[in-house]
Amino acid sequence: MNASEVTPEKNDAPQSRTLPILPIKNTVLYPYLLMPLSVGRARSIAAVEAAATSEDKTILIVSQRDARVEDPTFEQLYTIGTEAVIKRLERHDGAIQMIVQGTRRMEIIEPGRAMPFLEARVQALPEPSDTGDEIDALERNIVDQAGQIQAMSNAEAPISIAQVLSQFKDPLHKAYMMATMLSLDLEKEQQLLESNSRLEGLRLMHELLAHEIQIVELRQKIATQAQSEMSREQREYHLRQQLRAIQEELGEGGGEAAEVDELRERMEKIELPEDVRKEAERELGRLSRLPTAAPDYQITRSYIELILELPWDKTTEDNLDLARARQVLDEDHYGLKEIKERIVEQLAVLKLNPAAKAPILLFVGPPGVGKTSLGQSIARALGRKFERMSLGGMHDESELRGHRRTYIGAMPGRIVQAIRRAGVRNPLLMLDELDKLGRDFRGDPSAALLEILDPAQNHEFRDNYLNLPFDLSQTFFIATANTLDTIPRPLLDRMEIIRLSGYSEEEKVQIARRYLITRQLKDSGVTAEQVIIPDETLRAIITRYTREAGVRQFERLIGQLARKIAVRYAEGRGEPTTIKPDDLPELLGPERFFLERARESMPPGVSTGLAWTETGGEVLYIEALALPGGRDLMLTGQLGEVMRESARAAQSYIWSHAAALGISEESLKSTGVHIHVPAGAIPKDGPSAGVAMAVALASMYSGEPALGDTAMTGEITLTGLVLPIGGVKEKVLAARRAGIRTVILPEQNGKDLRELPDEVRREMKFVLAAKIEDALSVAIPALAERLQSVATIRYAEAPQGNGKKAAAKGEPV
Amino acid sequence: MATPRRTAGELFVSAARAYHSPYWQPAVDVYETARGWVLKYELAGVAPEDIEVQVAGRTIAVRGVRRDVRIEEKRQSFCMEISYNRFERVLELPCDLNTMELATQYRDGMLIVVLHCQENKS
Repeated sequence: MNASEVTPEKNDAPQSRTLPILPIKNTVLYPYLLMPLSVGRARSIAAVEAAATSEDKTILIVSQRDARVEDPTFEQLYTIGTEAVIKRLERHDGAIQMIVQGTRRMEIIEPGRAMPFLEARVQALPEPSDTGDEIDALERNIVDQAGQIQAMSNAEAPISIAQVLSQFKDPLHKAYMMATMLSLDLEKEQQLLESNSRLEGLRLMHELLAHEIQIVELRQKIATQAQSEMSREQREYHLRQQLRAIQEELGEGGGEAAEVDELRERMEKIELPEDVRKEAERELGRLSRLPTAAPDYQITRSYIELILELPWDKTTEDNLDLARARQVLDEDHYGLKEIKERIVEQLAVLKLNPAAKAPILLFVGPPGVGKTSLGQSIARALGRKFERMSLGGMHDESELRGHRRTYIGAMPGRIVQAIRRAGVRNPLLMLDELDKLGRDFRGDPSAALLEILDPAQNHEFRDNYLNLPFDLSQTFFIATANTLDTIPRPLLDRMEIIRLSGYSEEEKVQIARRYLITRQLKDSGVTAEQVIIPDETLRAIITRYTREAGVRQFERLIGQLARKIAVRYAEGRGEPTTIKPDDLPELLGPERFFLERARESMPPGVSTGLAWTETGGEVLYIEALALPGGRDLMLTGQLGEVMRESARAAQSYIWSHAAALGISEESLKSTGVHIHVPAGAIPKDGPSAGVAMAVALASMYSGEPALGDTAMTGEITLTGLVLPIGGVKEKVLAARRAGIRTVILPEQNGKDLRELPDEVRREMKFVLAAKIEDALSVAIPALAERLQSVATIRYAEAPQGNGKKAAAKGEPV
Repeated sequence: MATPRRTAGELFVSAARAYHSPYWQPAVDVYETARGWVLKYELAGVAPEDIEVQVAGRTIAVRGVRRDVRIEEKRQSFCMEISYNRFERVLELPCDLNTMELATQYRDGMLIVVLHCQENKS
């Protein structure tokens, strides 16, 4: 037997029935949902009594439109309500507490009596049962939204809304549940109840929830804003606590206390002068009281670290072996005898008096002559640490001397930093490019150097940042410069000036042999067997491809040669090559410079002068021309004031000695003079062209040409004296390059000839002139006879054999 | 024999069932016997003609209405704990019920449903 035994009773057949009505305030009861109600109004109690007495305990729950109405009429009620069954009921002091459960939606179709309770004819509304994709989607959305709202409201719910909603199978019932849980507008709740399709109800609910979410968000935002100030501080505090906890966990110092301890430990281990230790203790005490987060913490810490790292008492032992020092210096540099001697002298002094103050030297010379590398070499010879700093372009005094600690980002000055890097108190500190110091409104760094470089003051050098005296007196300062002109006098005064003039051709060849070729071949990866560069090739490079006092360009060209050969080897067609001078155009390109050959025959009025420039010496010609009918002295060729004046002095001298020179007074009176010094675009200045001017003028007035192979230099006075000038070596080398064989020099410069390489002295003739007449009679042979009575021609003695220190005193021939 | 796990589970979450339907649920006892199942529903005060038993596959549904008995016309409710009106109880058992013999008996306010396996089948 399969069928049921009891025939099912047909579901609520009656189309309409009469039910007691219970009006409720502020809320709506939905089908399927339970609701506790408290009933107090007389008519409501009567309605509940009637329902409780009835067979099926059914009552119609209808919301009243206005909660303030105490005894609503039918007009004040909505017409659609929910039929409910009374589940539980209890009476206390005349009021009734009960739980009702909605069953289905009902509509009042005919209001009945109003007393003793409201009663009406009602009819059930069909339960919506439409389906579709949109309904599914809306259902899911609503569940999500509900979860969102729950998450946003801080209420701790024992069970999630999503879980509660999952118990309803009908999507519309989920909406009913949501509406009950949220406190919505009564009107909206009623609208949901009146929805005749699931779609309508769900759409409505979706909209309501979206709105609700916005409100909750807004509310939260307002609350957050009000709290944000407080909470930021709290947050920071919490984060710091956490950070400390993390650091402790990682064993990372455990915060500031460990750091202070570590610094203290370091401080106890090293030796510090008493006042420095006191200051460091003071700062350390300050540090221990500061929180790590304080901006001052880092500043104080790095200050203490600087104090601890500075070599207050650390020195290196000087290597006082003179022979070894000589050897080291010779290994690194060729020539430069004077400087090497000076270094050896210093070593000797240190040997005899270990407390001697370190010297302060200034190397002046053209670029590429090895000033900087000489510094390194000296450090090596002495066994001192080498630190180098370039002053070029520095224009802020604070950069040298540091900023006071009150400034943000304050740092010790470059001097203290260099000492810190060196790690000893007696390094060799090289101050490069001293002549390129700038200065502006921030101060003059050279003024700071005055203190640093003064042996009388620098044992108590005070850096603005360090603010403690530091002893620099054991520091060996070497400054370098290309020219002395831009260095302030007081600064120059504090230093011992050592000139490194340019190298002669022979010296360059030697330097190439000893250092440059080896270095360049090594860089290019070829061996000395593969490339052979004979001396005449080196000479050809020096004369035809370079024009410099130093050897930088020369070295680059040797490198270029080496690379050309390296290319051949790399291509597999290499063979040991001897580079001849004739190969150079192929390897280095066309010759760049032509020898400034001495002008072979010179017209009257032209003389050969010598000039000194930062890059070495130059030969320059002075041309004088008579201007018949004129009276003036015209000077062209970018001549400076001093040079113009020496031209006038020369002219005056020639005029006043016209008779002795055999010059007619007429020619002086009736002609003007134009003196031009090529090259016209290069500014020239200085007194040292005086002799050459005088010779040019004498030659012009007398109509006798000067010797083309004789160059001259020297300052003149009105009374005809020849005064000494500088740059003798460079000038002589320039003259030699140009093929000139005789050089007229002021008598007092005779001593400078010692600086010249032996082979130069052997090859060239030097005339030491004390008076203008001496120079004139040598330069213009035709005048020699006329001047015989007044001129004394003295040749410098040529060196004997290979004597290294041939005396160069002037001697009459 | 399989145990009626799902049934038992549902028994304990009867509170949740309140939401499944707007109807009240009678208490039920479920027994397994040598020949099948015996179900006992607490349906005091329900007229036998108001009870409907329906079997479909593994589920057995008992529905009906409990109507209050009019004791006195004029009265006042002070406490009401008994559920009236419609009730419904749907149980799922771990076997096909369509093939079973079904017998009902209403005695002393209890509805007893007996489900027996058919003799010829076993």
